Amino acid sequence: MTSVLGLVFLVIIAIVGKYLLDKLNVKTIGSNFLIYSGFFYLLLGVLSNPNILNIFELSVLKKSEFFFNFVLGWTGFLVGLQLNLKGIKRFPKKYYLLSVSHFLISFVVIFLLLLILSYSDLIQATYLQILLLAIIGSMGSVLGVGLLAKERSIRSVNAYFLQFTTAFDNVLGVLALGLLFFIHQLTINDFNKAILVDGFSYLIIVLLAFFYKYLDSEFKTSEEEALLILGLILIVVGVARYLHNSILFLSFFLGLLIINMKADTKKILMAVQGWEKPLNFILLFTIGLYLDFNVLEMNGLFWGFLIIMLVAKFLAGDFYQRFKLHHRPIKKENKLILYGMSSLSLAMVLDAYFTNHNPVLLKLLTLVVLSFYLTNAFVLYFVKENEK
Amino acid sequence: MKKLIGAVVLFGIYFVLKRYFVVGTFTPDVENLLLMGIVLVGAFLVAKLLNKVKLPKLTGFMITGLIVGPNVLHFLTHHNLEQLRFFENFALAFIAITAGGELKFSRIKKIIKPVSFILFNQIFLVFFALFLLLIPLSKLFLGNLISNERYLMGFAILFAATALSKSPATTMGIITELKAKGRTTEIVLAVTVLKAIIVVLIFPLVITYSKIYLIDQFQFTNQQVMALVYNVFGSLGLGIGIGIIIILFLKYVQIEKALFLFLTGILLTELSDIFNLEILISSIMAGIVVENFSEKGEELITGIEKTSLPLYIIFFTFAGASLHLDTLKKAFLMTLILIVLRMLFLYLSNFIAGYFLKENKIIKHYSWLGFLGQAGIAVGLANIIEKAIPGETGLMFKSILIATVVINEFLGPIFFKYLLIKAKEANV
Repeated sequence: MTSVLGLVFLVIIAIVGKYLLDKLNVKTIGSNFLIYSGFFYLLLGVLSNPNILNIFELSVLKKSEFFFNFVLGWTGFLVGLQLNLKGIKRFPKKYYLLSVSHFLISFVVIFLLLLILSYSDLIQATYLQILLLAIIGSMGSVLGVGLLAKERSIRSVNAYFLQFTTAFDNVLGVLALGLLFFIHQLTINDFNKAILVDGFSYLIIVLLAFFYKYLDSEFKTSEEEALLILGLILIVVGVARYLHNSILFLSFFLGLLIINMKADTKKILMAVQGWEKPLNFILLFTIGLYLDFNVLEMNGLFWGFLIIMLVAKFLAGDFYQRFKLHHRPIKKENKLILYGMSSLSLAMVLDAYFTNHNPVLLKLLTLVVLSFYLTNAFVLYFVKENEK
Repeated sequence: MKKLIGAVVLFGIYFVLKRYFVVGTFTPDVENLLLMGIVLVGAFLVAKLLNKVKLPKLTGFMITGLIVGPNVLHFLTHHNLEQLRFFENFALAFIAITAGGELKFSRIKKIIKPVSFILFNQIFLVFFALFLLLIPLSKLFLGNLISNERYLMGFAILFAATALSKSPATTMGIITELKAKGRTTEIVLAVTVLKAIIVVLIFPLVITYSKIYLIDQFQFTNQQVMALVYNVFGSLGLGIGIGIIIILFLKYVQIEKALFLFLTGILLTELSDIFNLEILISSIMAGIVVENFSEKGEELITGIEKTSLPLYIIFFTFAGASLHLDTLKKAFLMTLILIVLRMLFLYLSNFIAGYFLKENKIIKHYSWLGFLGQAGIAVGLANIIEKAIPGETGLMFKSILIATVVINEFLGPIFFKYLLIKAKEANV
């Protein structure tokens, strides 16, 4: 059996498994979280991992990398599409202020505390890795908050605001990722060359966005529209890989530009929505394939990150109450509701790995995956318990 | 003009990145990502541009392949094509599933007489007439290029067999474009799909038989016969198996259909490769099984059609890029003769069938116009030949065959459109 076939069989099992789970009608918030977060696809990836059952051998993993790159690009593009500046006026200004503050407080606290731990040799991580952890730790879980809102575990006014915050801080996270990659560029090139290389990649994205605007009318049906987007994402991903830039950020940038160029939003969404879920599952499967479980030496970093993130989220949550900027103060126990990590954080670490193929990033990815499930489980349990 | 500028900008980006902005490493991954993106959008634009002068889109894709391929711009090299071969086969699997999906038994029952008569004529008359004529013609035009005279016999067999092929995809394309409905439309569609299956089934046999003449000391042994039987029945079995899986999925599971169809394509491509089976037969069979033994057949075809555009572009652009123009120059006259003879015998086949069945003037004199277009499957067959007969001989045959496909592809849709308008079955 070839590895590709192995993948096919496993994903078919996952689809059928998901169907059976739906039939069994297990509808707890925990099972819903596992289903919607694509846990089973991640698990299949882990099982197929070269270090576990070795269904996907290293050589095949390498050969399929360009496809995984593309899936990452599609993810970034979808995040970019969410930032329609026309729709920004729909939300009160203080929502933005609060979200940015929450993100920045979390970011600064996580970054500084991890840096202190690193200088005191309690954890092993470079400052770029710490920056990456600070970014992903500052984003909230769209899925976790969404599920709690659906179950009416959060008051509706808060739910609306928290859902906005998690969606917006994910966008802020991708923007910060762009900056991080620029800093990374500075570590491999001198300043002028870094500016030139990054500038050139942004220029190509702008050019492609104008290209889209100029030619969109030629791609009339949703199938043709999907073709155009598919082609542009492939080019962006190729450019990102070639110029050592972030696949997520550049494709996000393309999505952002396109959606704000008076584009036919409905047409774009119709073209991309059908592929959102399948590609998300493939992304999770891919993440499972790349995990490296020899992470014992990163034990300190793992626990340090979880605790520091808890402190950071508590402080940021406290900010809401202290300044009473919100309509109604968030319930005390809900201060930690944004502790759950965003699923986008997994994609970000994978993105970083694809850029420089540093094996340490795969260990970091494993820690982030574990943190993602632990923090979200903690929040769901915490909120549900408080409800009682 | 817009389309032309768009295509030039895309090709320009690739050119600048590769030639002038050398900051990173142009790894195969980077190259393949950029190429796939540029080919998908660029080929579409070129095809639309050529569509203005009524050329079919498939021709546009092939012409793009020719431009970006090793013959002109050298963006898409033979090395890239080899690396991206999986996508070509994957696209072929989907095209063939759609072709099989068009074969609804209940529809064919109603027009069984003309369909079977025309089909019989088109297969036997075209094959034997071309075969008999091509032996002296090959000697006349290709004799000085071929060292061994036995090759001429092999060529004649292969030429005659591949002349039978007809693209169901182009037929469907024109019918959809014109919203055509009627007896002539149904007859042309049924004959096209059935002929595609028969051609694919007999083709391995023809290839093996022709090898007796093409390859020195090649003998037709029992083992080869068994291998052929294995190939045909194995492919049919795989297609039926996959068809049943699709039916069960569509009936009982019904979730993540797009992902499932995508995986089914991979499954067909990989299994055919592993067990050395014929992907065309397997895929067509899967389409037939789903269309005829499930209420969800239409759903499958619609699902595939939604994703078919990128697949067609990849398949036909790669085919265009694989065209060896240098070899083609040597046998251009032979290509033209093959095209004219094929037209002549197609006309005779349909005329005889129409005459004996006392069919109307349209079927007798014009229905042959619906059978010119050769694409998809014909290109697939040409690829089989290249694999089966390595070296210059196979390469030349492939080039001649693809050249006939390109020319027929130019003429096919225009002629078919004319037929449907003449038959008053076009509704646009």
